Amino acid sequence: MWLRRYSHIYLEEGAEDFELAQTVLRKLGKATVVRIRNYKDIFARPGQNFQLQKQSPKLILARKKANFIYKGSMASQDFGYKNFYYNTLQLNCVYNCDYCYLQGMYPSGNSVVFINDCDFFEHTRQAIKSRPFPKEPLYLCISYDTDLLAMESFIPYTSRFVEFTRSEKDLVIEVRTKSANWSSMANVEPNHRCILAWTLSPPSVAAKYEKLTPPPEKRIVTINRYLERGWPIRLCFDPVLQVENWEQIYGDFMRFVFAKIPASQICDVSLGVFRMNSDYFKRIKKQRTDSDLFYRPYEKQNSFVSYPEGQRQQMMETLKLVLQEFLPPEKVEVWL
Amino acid sequence: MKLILTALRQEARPIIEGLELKHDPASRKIPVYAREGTLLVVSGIGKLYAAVATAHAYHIAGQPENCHLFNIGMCGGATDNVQLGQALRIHKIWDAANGREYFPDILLEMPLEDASLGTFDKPVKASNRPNLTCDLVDMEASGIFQAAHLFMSPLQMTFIKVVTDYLSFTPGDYPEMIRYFEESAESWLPILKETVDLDLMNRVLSSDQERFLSEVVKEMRFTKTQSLQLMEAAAGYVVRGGKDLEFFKPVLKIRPKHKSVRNEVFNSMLKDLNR
Ligand code: SF4
Repeated sequence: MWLRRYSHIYLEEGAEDFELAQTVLRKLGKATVVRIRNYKDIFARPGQNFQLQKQSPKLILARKKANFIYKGSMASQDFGYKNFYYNTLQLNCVYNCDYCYLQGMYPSGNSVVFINDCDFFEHTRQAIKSRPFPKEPLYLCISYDTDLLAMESFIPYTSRFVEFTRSEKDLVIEVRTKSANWSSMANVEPNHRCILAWTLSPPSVAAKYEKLTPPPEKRIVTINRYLERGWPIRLCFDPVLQVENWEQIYGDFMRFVFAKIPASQICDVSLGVFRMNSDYFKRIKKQRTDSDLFYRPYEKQNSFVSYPEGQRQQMMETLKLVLQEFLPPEKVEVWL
Repeated sequence: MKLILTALRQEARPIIEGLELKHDPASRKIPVYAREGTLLVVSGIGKLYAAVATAHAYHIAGQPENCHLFNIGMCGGATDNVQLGQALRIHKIWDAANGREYFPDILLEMPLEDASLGTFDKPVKASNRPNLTCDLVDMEASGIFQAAHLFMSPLQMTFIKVVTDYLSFTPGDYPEMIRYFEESAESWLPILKETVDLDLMNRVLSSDQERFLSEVVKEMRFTKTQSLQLMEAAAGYVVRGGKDLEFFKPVLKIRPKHKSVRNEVFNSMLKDLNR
């Protein structure tokens, strides 16, 4: 009934001049191309429905005109980096996790890919030069509101940023992902300043709340391949959800992960509980009738919705102890 | 609910026959044909009439939240890439008068190729074909889109156009143009029959469940806040896989005479739902 994903590519005026757009058009050769003047004419139309569009998402290729780099907010994990920034190479994600705030942030289930990579590189160079703490590198998250690695086979953004980082000695990047994509990065030389960060959840949680993502077992196999190749790897047990019997489910899963992945080779681990901006939460709850995640007793604190504070503390303390069976405390970043 | 718009009676005919619609004698200025779940309105030529007819259709259908609008009609081919008698689904509508572009969502599989469409206020001459940046030309679609977008989402709209000419025709060509249109019906009539409404209401509780809970609220004389809390808890119960709310039926036999009893009943209901 639903058309295949990316059946249509909406191409913004002028976007076709960029080599990355040509690559995407070539890789998705079967897609119908619709010419548009501005990506917002599609992406920001009133009256869209995120979840229904997710059944057959479209790709919008556009040129980013401003805001190539953002200062990281207090609400994000900086892993101790003082010059913490992020960018938005893409709006929206190929996956559709129940707990994802993008559903409340964007008006559309379609994805925008900004194809002027050269402009992103140029603005990143400028930001490196003018970084507030010059003795420290600029730390840039490039897969913030999306999953770049999952789309690497037709939008080779991760490999391009890895190459760019190689030439910028004061740059460290993080690529967060849930993908099991190895083949499109197999020939890319690892770089110790390009951290690949995998989000992992227990299989029962992933199957229920991380729609369209590869199963955690597959992610673990992929992580090991990258590790063997010499890539710096971060593991993110985040968000931890308060499912029934969470203590055992997450505890067992962490032990399973470190039975498969050598903990000594991991850069660090992040741990966090489910939390979401309360406006996004309200918006998503109105749209979703299929997820019990939005019908739990939460507490609102500083415009964020999460589990009551005592429960959050208890969840983090319990799971931190499990992680410390494998890693020294300084390698575990807890996010409450 | 399906809302179908055509500009001409000749365009409506295969739909009326194919879907067995009946003329509604109450609607005389704007012809309406209907049957359970389907309503067809004939607008007349031009985007203003088309916009009025769209609003009319939506209102006489009872302003349904879950509905799907179809615009089916004849059009001119602005490019040689389209064939006479070919039906196409429209992915972009360009309004030649105001220069704006409108985009119906293309989510559902349909056995038709896609095209872009320009809506003009006056018939376009064949001599203008080389200057056109759209594949097809009509006189209604942008008016329908704009009017419909006031009431519904772009994913509730499907525009299907059948190429009946290449912008050069005389009145003597009409019978052949109508024939192209009618013969194309086999490619798009099944779409009209089979497309189901996309559920945009996102209701967790069925109308029966909502009715039942309203009855409970009334009988128990719950406060406004209690009523909201009860609905929320019931929705959570259903989303978590709870089958029905029948287990509350015995509660209805209690007629609380005091606030304290009412609150006790309320708390026990919440407890049951949050289990
Ligand atoms: S992978 Fe991340 S960005 Fe993508 S849907 Fe899931 S939570 Fe959102």
